[in-house]
Amino acid sequence: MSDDAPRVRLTRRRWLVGGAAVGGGLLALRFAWSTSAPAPTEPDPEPTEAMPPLPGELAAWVRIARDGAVTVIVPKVEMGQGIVTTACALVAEEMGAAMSQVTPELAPAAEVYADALFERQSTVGSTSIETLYTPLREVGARVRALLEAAAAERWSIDVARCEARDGHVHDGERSLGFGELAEAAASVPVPERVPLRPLGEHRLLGRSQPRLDTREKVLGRTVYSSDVTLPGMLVAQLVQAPSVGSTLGALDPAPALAVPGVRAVEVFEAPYPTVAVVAESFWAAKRGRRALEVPWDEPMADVDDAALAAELEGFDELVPVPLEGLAAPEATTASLAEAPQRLRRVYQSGYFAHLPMEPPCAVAWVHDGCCEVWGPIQRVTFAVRLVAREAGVPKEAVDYHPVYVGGSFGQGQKPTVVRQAVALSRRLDAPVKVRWTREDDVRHDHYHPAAHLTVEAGWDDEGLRAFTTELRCLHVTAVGYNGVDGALAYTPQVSATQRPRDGSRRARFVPTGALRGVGSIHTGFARESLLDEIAAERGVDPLAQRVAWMRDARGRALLERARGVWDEPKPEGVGHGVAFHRYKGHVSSPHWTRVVVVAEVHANEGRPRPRRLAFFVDCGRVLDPRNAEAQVVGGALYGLSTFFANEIHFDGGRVRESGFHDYPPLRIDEAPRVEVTFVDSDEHPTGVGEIGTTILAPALASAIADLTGGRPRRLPLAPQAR
Amino acid sequence: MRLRINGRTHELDVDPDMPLLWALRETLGLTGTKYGCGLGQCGACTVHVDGQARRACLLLVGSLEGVEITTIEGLEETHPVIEAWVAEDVPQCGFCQPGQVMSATALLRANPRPNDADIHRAMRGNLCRCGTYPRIVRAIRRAAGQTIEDG
Repeated sequence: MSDDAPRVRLTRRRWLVGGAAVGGGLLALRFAWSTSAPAPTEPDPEPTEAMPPLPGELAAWVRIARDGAVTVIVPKVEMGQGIVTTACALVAEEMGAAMSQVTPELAPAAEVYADALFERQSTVGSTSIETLYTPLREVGARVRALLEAAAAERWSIDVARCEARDGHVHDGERSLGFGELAEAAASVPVPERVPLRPLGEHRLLGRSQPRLDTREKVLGRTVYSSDVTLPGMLVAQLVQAPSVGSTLGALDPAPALAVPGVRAVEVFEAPYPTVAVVAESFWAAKRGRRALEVPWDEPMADVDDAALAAELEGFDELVPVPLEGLAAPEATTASLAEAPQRLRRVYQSGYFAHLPMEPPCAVAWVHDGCCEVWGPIQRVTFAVRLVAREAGVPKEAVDYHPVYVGGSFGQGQKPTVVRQAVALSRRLDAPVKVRWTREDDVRHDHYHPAAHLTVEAGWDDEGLRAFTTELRCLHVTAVGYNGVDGALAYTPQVSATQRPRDGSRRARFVPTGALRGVGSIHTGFARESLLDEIAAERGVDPLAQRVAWMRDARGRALLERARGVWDEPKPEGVGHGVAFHRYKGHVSSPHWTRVVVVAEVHANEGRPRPRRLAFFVDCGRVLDPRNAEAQVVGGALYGLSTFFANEIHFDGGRVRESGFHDYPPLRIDEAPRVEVTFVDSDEHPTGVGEIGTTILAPALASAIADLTGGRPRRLPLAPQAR
Repeated sequence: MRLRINGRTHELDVDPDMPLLWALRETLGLTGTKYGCGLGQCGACTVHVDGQARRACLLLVGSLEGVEITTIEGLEETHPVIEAWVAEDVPQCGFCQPGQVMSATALLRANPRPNDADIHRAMRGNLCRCGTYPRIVRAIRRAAGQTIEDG
């Protein structure tokens, strides 16, 4: 029988999971891993396993215990994408460790963990594997070199005879365990250059690994920020400004303060006016929140969907999108004018919410000139700066405690809840947990930005001659325009324009941010839909047209792979569509992930429903097939939940939706069949976290057009009846 | 009031209108049962009440005298459903999974050989945002291949 008493995690500062200790005292820990690593210069908190750290920077990545247990410090946030397991496999492969002896530990905030592309510590854009593939193998290789040198020294032999594998260094029949060698290894000079194992000798990479976080997650022992408890911690329930520009009217806090357990009613701005009912328990805080009447003055009460759409469509001053490879708009306009055939269409998409399974929750404790924080944070460097400012402490005094995150999908890039927890803790001089309700989550999200796209293509019998996009979207960074250069796969004559960055927030009624797939969701929708409309006009098979027009060799190969599924005889009552995309999460990455999807829909109770999705993915070398498949399937089902039938509406300046009843995600009986085929490749691995989401929309739109004769030109494709 | 949880009796002095979810998580420190919506729409708070899958966010503590409550912490680690979940590597972010496991164990206790329609019906109250549904179905089928006893 599992012990059902609360667990304790030992870190530099003791903190509890699950609240008051039953039966008095703190219980000793028996854990697979801790969720907070000590800083590299600090001694290991488990004295029985204390070892001198590995030399130099290696200590920031790997620890080896006396019993041979290997800890890999993972510089990314684990939100379900499986990064902790593959990060461990990358190190273990080169090190010669067995996965059974490796445990992941989430990294604290430190410059050494800055991402190579974003130059900050962050987990975004499906870039983790791409940026860690070589560096983590080099870490493993360096550690192996130290262990083999230590063994060679111990045996007084040439190091060339020593081989690290399965957690031991071998010389013929004899071997020494990593644990026996680690202390000596710590004083071996770290070699400058280390050879990496040839791919053909890999035993872990390229094979599916059991995920290292699975058992704890199944047993309910994984610590998310909503599970963190500190002695004396208060819990807050919020009433947040219902719309941009709202101000608080006269508030009477007495009804909340009268509820037993409520300690305070705080009014603050972080970053918008918010009322917090702060109590000794969640239930007291909730009762206190319910008791309050909070009057708002809402100057934006005239903002509704029509007003927002009109504002978007009204952006007339457009400037070139700053993406490499795009041509000057005038040049593309000229090419369009010369093309014998042209087609111009408008496509639109709405605002979409993240709805992670774990509603936003953060814990903060400002004390003794420092601030400790736990929360759903994807961009650690950014969050540390944000927390420092809100807490009034220097960045170096922010103690970021990494936690596992219950789904994020981009929401963790702008964790307002973290800022709110810090602000309250500072005010109240106590640890504070801020819990957003599901309603808070749906109404105060940073939504995927709505978009209005005017796309035009010119072609002749040889191929696509020119492609332009006018992107009207509130978000003017890559979150809005990612993928707008996608037509470069078909023709070099591509341009795109968008509204200028005006620096003012006047137009920003709606808070927007990155959502899995980002701009590719709407730019890909517009581009691939237009290509399908062109194919229909030409009377040509849309897959065949793409193959003929595709300039990207790997893209063409992927389309050919999809032909088998595409050419299968279609059952009665089924429509199908196909789309291609290549995605990169950072503009200066040299790598694309390429995807083709064949989507099938059928009618269910008179409405089109997805029936089958067949993905073909070229992401370079697949390091963990089962996990990569899970990522693509996950992305596809996430996309269906997010924008097939759902969107966020605005009435009277406020968000209309409030939960799973009016933004209904896919349920288990609604999930279509999803198949994923990966190309066999040794090319540099690229990310697959978003690929399932990016190109679903146009393939489904074309499938619906095939089925019904009517083509949806707006996301969501099959809106709920209202 | 007294609550029977995972085979032990707990004396609690809390508001009888408090949902069981918060008694579990805060009063007793059993954090495996999760808050996902508080409205019974997502299943993240699924527990067993006398062997039936119920949503702890909708059960008021004051109504639970005399029943046997089981949480994820109360299942044997070697329970066939847990082993099936691990073997199939079901979780991604993992937040919904304790609730999924609780619903699945209740299903298999009542119906040791469910077909896909049975599985969908029993499990559709448990949301997953990461898309683990296909592996959930596989794990339940896998667990159903063995004799299921109470955990």
